[in-house]
Parts: sequence; C-alpha cells; structure tokens
Amino acid sequence: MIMAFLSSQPKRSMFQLNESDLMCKNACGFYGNPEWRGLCSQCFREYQKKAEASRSRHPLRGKETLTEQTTKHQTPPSVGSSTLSQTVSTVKTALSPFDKFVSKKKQQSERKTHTVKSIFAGAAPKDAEPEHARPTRQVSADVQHVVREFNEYLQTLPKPIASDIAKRIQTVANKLLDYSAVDYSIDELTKIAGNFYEEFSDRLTRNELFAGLDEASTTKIMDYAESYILIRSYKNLFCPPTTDDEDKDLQTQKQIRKLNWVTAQRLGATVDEMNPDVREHIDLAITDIIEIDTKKTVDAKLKCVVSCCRNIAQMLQLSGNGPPSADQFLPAVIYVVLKANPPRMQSNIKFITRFANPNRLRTGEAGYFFTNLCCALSFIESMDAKSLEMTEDEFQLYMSGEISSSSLHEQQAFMCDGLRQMNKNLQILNELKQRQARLDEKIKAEQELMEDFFASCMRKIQEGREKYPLIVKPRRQLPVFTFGPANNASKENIQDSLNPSWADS
Amino acid sequence: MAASAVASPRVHDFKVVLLGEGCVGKTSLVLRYVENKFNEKHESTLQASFLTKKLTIGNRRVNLSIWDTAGQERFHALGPIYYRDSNGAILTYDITDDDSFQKVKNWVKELKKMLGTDIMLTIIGNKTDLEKQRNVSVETAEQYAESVGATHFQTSAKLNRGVEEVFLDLSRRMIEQADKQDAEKRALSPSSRSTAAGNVVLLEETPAAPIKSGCC
Repeated sequence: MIMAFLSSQPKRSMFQLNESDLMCKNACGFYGNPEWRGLCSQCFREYQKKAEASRSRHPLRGKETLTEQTTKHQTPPSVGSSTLSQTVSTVKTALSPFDKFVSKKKQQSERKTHTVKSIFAGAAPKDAEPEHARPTRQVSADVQHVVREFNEYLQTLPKPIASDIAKRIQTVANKLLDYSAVDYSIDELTKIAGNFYEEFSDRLTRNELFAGLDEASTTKIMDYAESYILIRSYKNLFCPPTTDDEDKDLQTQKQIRKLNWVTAQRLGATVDEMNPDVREHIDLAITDIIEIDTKKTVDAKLKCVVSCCRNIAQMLQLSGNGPPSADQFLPAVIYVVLKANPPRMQSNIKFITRFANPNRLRTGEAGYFFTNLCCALSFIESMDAKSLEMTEDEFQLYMSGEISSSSLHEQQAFMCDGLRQMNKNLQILNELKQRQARLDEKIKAEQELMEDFFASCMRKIQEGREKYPLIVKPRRQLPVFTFGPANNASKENIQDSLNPSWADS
Repeated sequence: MAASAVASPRVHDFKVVLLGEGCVGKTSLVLRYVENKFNEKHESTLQASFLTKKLTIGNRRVNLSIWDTAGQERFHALGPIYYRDSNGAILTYDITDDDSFQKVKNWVKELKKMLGTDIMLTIIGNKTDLEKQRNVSVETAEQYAESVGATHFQTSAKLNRGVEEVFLDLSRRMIEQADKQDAEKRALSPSSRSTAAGNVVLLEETPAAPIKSGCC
C-alpha cells in the first residue's frame, strides 16, 4: 500500500523540481542547465573562468573544489535538490521581484521534497536526518493543546481501546498531512476524512472492542478524532491554494461592504435597536462570529457559531415576544453577518463543510445554527432587489452609493449608540452620587461618635480628677503622669484632619 | 432478520425539516409537541427554531432533531441547504389558506426532485380550530397526499389535537426507511466483515493521484 504511494511520489516531486529549477541559479533570468551546475551558459562561463583563475593561484584548493564537484554529481537527486536549494538561498541575498517568486516556488517544492523524504525516513533514516524533525517543527501551540487534551482523554479509557483508537487516528492524520502537503485535490482530502469518519464511527458502534462505551464517550471520541486529524494539517486544509476560496472570501467581503445600507427592517428582522440590551447582544453575536476565524478546530469554530446564534436568539426574545421561530431567526442572522462582515467567512464555512464529521452537521444544535449561517451567507451572496422587496432602480442606486447609506434608521441607530453611551454614563454618575451621599453620612456618624467619645472621656477624666484630686506631696510621691494637655492636642489634631473633607462634602 | 437484530441497539438520529409558508403555525406545532406550550412567553425556551425530542418506539430509540425553516418567500431558494440530508419533512399548510396548500405542493415537488424517495413526507393541515373558515377540503388534501406517497394529518396546535400522532407516525416510517437502507447497503457489500475491516481497505486504495503540476 505504501509502496504504491512511494512509487508515484518521487517521480512527481522530480518533475516539480525540474520545472522550478529551470532558471539559472545566478538569478540572471535565463534558463539554467544542470550540466552547467544549474547556471546559464553565460554565468557558467564566468564561473569557470573564476574557478580556473583560483586554481592556477592555489592549485591545492582547486583540487578541493573539484572533488566537491564530483561528489555533488554523484549524489542522488533528492539530496542534490536540497543542495541546489541551498545555492539559491545563498544567492537570494540580492533579490529582484522575480527571484522572490523563484524562491517562493523553491520553498514550495522544498516542502514537497521534505514530505517525500519523510516517507523515505522509515526505510532509510540516514538519508533524511535533518528532515526527521518535521512533525515537531510544525507543531504549534494549538496542536499541542489538542494533542494534550486528546491524550488526557485517552488515558481515561481502557488500554486496548485507547491504543486502537490512537493507532487509527494517527494513520489518518498522517495521511491527511502528507497528502495535503503535496497539493492533493481538496475533494480527495475530503473523501479521505469522510471515509474515516464513516468507518471509524461504524467501528465504534459495531466492534465488540468498544461495546463498553456509552453514547456520550463515543461522541467525545469522534470529536477528538476530528480535531486531531484536522489540526495537524490545518494550514494545508484551510483555504488551500488549490481552490478559489480566497477569491470568494474577498468577493463576499466586498459584497457585504456594498450592502452596508441594508437595515434590519429591510430584511424583515424584528430587531429593537433602541433597546440597549438588544444592542448588547448584537455586539456579542458580532464578536462571536468574528472569532470563528481565530479558532483552529471544527469544534471550536462551531462553538463560536452556537454562541453567536444563542446571542441572536436572546436578542430576538428581547425584541419580540416569545421564543423566536425560524421566520425571525434567519433574517436576524443575515443582519448580524452583514453588520459583522466576518473575515474569511467562505473559507471557514468551506473548511467545516468539507472536513467536519458529517453526522455532527446533520443533527444537533451546532449543525442547525451552522446551516443557518450558510443560508445567511448564500442569501447575501445572491441578494438583489427582489429579495429585499424593492425596485431594481432603487437597489442599484443604493449599491452604487448614490443614495446616502445613512438612511434615517441608520442615523437613529447611530444616535442610539450615543444615547446608549450617555445613558450608561448617567447611570454611573447616579450611582457615584449615591455612593458619595452614603459616604458623607457615614463620615458624619463617625464624627458624632468621636465627639461623643471625647466628651465622655473628658467627663470621666473630670470626674476622676474631682474624685481623686491631685495633691502634690513632695518627695515621697513618684512622679505622676499628667495627660490632660496631651489629650487636648490629639483631639484638635483629629478634628483638623476631619474638618476639610467634611467641609468639602 | 440479522440486519435488524444488529441495528436494534443503535440509536437513530433523524433530521426532520419543517417546511411551509410563514404564519401557518410551523413553530407552534413543534413547540406544542416538544414542550407542550402554545403561545406562551417562556423564558426557558431560548429559541423555537431548533428543538430535539427523544422517543422510544418499540425497542428502538430515536433522537429527533426538528429543524424549523424560514417560510418567507424570499428565502425559498435557501430550502436545499436546510433539507439536505434530512430523513423526514413535515409540510404544513393552514386549512383556512389555500395559497399555503399550493406552497406545500411546490415543496413536495422540489423535495421529490432533490431527494427522491429517501425522504419521508408528512403533510399537515393545521388550525383545525378554525374549522368554520376552512378553505382546503380534507378530501383534496388527502387525495393529494396519497398521490405523492405522503401521509396526511389534521392538527390544531392551539388545542393540542393530533400533534403527537404526526411525529410518531413519521418516526415509524423513518425507522422503516432506515432499515431498508441498511439492508440495501448490506446487499451491496457482500460481507459485513469487509466493511468492518474497512480502514485497511481505505489505506490500500491509493488515490489515482490527479497530479497537477503547480505551475502558478
């Protein structure tokens, strides 16, 4: 099985290398020739002249370069290609735009040779020593996180089950990683993932090895498997260069920007924009929908979708009455997408539809909400005068920006933003005022207490003095400590410190 | 039968879409069924567009995911995205509104075209509490339902009449259909063992690499 894969691979990579290596290694813009060390005729002649000159000056060193040359010619093609690429990278220092293109090409083909070599690595490890670190090199924090979580979960399962699962998932993950790195068509990759989900879930339900697992853990295993096999090749699977996802993303963004005049009312969404709580939920929903792009696993992306849609549902519940139906829900989703203009929405949706476990999208809340999001996007893409129930002329005027986008409603919404802020500030001020008043009262009470305390102290001292008048008996008496004056002073001090704040308030 | 014996412990996850014009009472119908509520303000229900219900029919466990769809005309084109991969569809019309019945007919045509006979159809005439204003006769509706292989029910979400039966009947038919599909699958792949060891097979079938030279 692997043999078939191998035999098809090297040929392919050689073809790729030849194509991108056709240019002269000196980056002069002419085609090079492998016989001339990858240089064009002109550059090779100069190179030879230089070599000859140096050989005549240092005969010994000349020999060295010669042996170097011969060994280079003997090296197998795959290693030769990597040394060639090194030459390019050394030349790369003074680059024209064209060279940048070449070096980019180079990197791509290098990436391919790496994967090829990594396949070789098993058979002939000494050939691919520097490339052996491939998996670890690509591991990012996200991958580590997913892997760690999955490993932790596997440890809670019985050993035979865990090892069986790990083995299977690892195989598919590697396959996806290798295949995606060599630009397999996206449909092939989707098929690989789809087949895996189907057979793996079938195995989980039917194989007696997994008989002890309940439904919840099966779902969990499926989710982890999905995250694991996708995250390692995420870079290659998300918005792959073999598709036009990126163009579509740009198109959608442009379209949404053009549609900035569309209001909730036009869409038939019952959104009470004057209600500050409603606005709050809209903002939260917008944040969620934008966050989708930052997540790297289907699971995390779908969680954002669910959170976004829950906010929308809450928002609708606040603006209308009762739990919102789909009739109200979809327009609201469209409205939020328009407001948010989320980045790379098409790529994200494509990624999920291509590689998510299909069962997850078919049933469950996440699937439903995701479908609504797809619908919203599809509606936005094909939005025209008819779908907004307005005349063609009017629609065109709006689209071309001839009619001001800030319609009355929009202005109200903006004003509402200001008002909302103002209301909030007023509330805060009110609260502060109340707190100030409470503070004042407390200070007053405290001061009264202190005054009382001083008065009673003074009274007691007075009483004591009267009761036991001080009679100075010279000599035999120990020196008596009189605290009358000191006490007075401290009282004044405290009052001093209190007075200013009291007077201010 | 061996097939059903193996399949019986399995939990069926069914997706059911609700189709129909706006204001025919799709949402009320599900809310009545799942939460036994009608037109009440309930904080507990966050939204009524997606609801689930667990059923046990015979010895089969069924999880229903009920997907409400937007009924407005402008969203009609989005239908296929909603009903893709669904096992059943409930098409609702308002017995006082002939237009809504015509819409149901359109939906049926579309579903048949897109999904063939894989999807189980149920046609519902809702709002029987408004019998006096009836505009769609029972006979016409039943005849039509029979002609397209759908079952027909009359319900009133308001009075909670006939709602339970709709979902029960649909679930039964969906189980039957699932069994049939399972059997067909088995017939296609001669031994079930080969599919169980499918992962190995998968590895061996090296894709006939549609090699494209990445020239740009």
